[in-house]
Amino acid sequence: MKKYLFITLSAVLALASCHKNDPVIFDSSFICFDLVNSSSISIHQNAELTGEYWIHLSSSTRETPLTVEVSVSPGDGMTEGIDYELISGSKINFLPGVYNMPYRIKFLRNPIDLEKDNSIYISITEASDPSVTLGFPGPDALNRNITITKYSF
Amino acid sequence: MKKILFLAVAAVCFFACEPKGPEIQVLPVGMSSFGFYAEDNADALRADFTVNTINSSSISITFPYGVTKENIKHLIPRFEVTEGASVTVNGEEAVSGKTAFDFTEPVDFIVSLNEKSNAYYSVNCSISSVKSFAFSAESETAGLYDHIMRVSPTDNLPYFITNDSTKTTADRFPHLYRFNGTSIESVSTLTQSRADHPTMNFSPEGTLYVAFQDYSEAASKGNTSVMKIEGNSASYVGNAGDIYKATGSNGYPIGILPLSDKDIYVGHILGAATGGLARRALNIAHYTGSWQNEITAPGRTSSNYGYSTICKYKNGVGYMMVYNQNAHNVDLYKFTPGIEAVANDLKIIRSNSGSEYLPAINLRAINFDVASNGDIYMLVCGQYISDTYNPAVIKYEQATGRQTIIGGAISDVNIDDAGSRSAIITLDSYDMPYIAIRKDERALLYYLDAETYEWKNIQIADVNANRPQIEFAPDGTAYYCFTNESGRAVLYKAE
Repeated sequence: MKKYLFITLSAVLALASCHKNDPVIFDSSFICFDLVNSSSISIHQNAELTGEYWIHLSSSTRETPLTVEVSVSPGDGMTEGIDYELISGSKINFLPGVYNMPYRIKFLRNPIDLEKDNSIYISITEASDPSVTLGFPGPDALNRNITITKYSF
Repeated sequence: MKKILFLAVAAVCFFACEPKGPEIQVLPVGMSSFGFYAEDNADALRADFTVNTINSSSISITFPYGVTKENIKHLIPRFEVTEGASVTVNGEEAVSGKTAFDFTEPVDFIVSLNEKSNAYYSVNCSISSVKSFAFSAESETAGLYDHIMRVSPTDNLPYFITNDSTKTTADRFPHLYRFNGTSIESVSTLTQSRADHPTMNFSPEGTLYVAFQDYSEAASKGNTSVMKIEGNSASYVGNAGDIYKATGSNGYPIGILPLSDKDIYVGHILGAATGGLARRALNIAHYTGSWQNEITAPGRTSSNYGYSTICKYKNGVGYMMVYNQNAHNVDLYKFTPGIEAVANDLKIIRSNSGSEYLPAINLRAINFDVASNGDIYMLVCGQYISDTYNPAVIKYEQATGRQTIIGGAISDVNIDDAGSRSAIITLDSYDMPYIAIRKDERALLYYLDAETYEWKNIQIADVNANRPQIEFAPDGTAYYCFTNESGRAVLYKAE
């Protein structure tokens, strides 16, 4: 009996010690805004331009497209159709092999009211693959949201 | 029963096995070059515009001033892609060298080898809204320090100060040059003693004053001196070395503000504890017939120590900016006459949307200019959008204290890069900002696009350059100068 108990315990310990020194792989997918390669988030009130804000997918090779939902919320100083137009729809599609897609907003020339909130808040709200983290991994979900502000000078 | 069960299982297995089609492989695919050639677009372009290294999904091409929006509404691009790949735009085939597109808005190219192998590119075209600069002159002799340029408010010509490039430290004499409309000519060797960190400024009536670390015996070997330039000769203002010794930092440790010949300020960062001031403290010296050091800087935090002191005279008022390296903020003063604090311990905003401030200001480049309405445009390098130090222009309204980032941070410049480390701002007569920036060892001019108010840039010259600067003459001529690898001042001009 003792012999069998000893063998069993040894086996259990041996199995438990396997993989103890295996490296931890951080390979979870995530999707976020890449501000470094994007248009400025400070837009002059007289600017007429199409801003491109790049959405970056960090992922191993995908074999199926990924659809990302983006929401836009204006401050009380911003009105769609007067201060800006949304060029990209609410869904951005990443074909397999594509890891960067732009979200486009056309800014229109219109004076701002300095007393109001002249910001446009853009957020990644959903991905068709639920295993993809929105924003950088971590509790703060950095770069899941961006804020574009119009100014005057 | 067993036989029926067996047949049923066999049937399930048979129908479960779909014939396997060929597996679609994931293959590398991409675009290796993109451009517009005059040969394909004879009505629109006079030269080729190409991007031969594509390392991101965004391809940008800027056409020179003179190309119009009409010209780029119907442009034919050429591109090279992975062999066998197809290229589509909005679902339609794009053929290199044949298919035209409207590039007044971004055009999306998709390069595909199969349904699992794709690459996406956004091509953005813009048109420069500044005239190009033309080469004017190069100095015949080299300087040790990078030249500092100032444009005279009376004769509209640029002057340059450096010190002689010699083999011995003792022979680094301060040397003044001037552009005479045709060439950069020597004006004067100011002293026969070593001079470090020479800088200069014009008084409102056009008299040039030079300040430097003076290593003559009379200046106690290193104290700061000021000299006045009249014609081709220079004379000390007060005595040599009347001003405390400045630090030897590589920024702009000395600033000079001559308001008149009897009202001159020098602001500088001390190299050692002197008088009642600590090492690295700001010393303001004032000349009214003789020099007085330790002039009080109103509101200054006594524990602050500085790295750069920059002075400019605009619209009848002198201004001084001090970068406080320990506190990562700035002090702004104006001289109207007498010293008045515009802002003390001013932290710089990180974005226009919130109340967050930069935790750190990079010491490699900081500068300012003043608009006609008194707004101060500061050039400050910080971590606005990532962990690199990008330059940004912050407008500071004196009346309200409000800060506004103009055009956003310049994200394609990291001022910490060894090939950068230099940026100067100036405003033109319409108060539009221009920045002379060193990037990848080249001299670039950044300006705000007239339509989009985004920062755009042009390269002034395809040679290694140090300390690029730009300044506008009262007659509107723009002068751009840098020091080349040989130590010579190189001047470009746009009229």
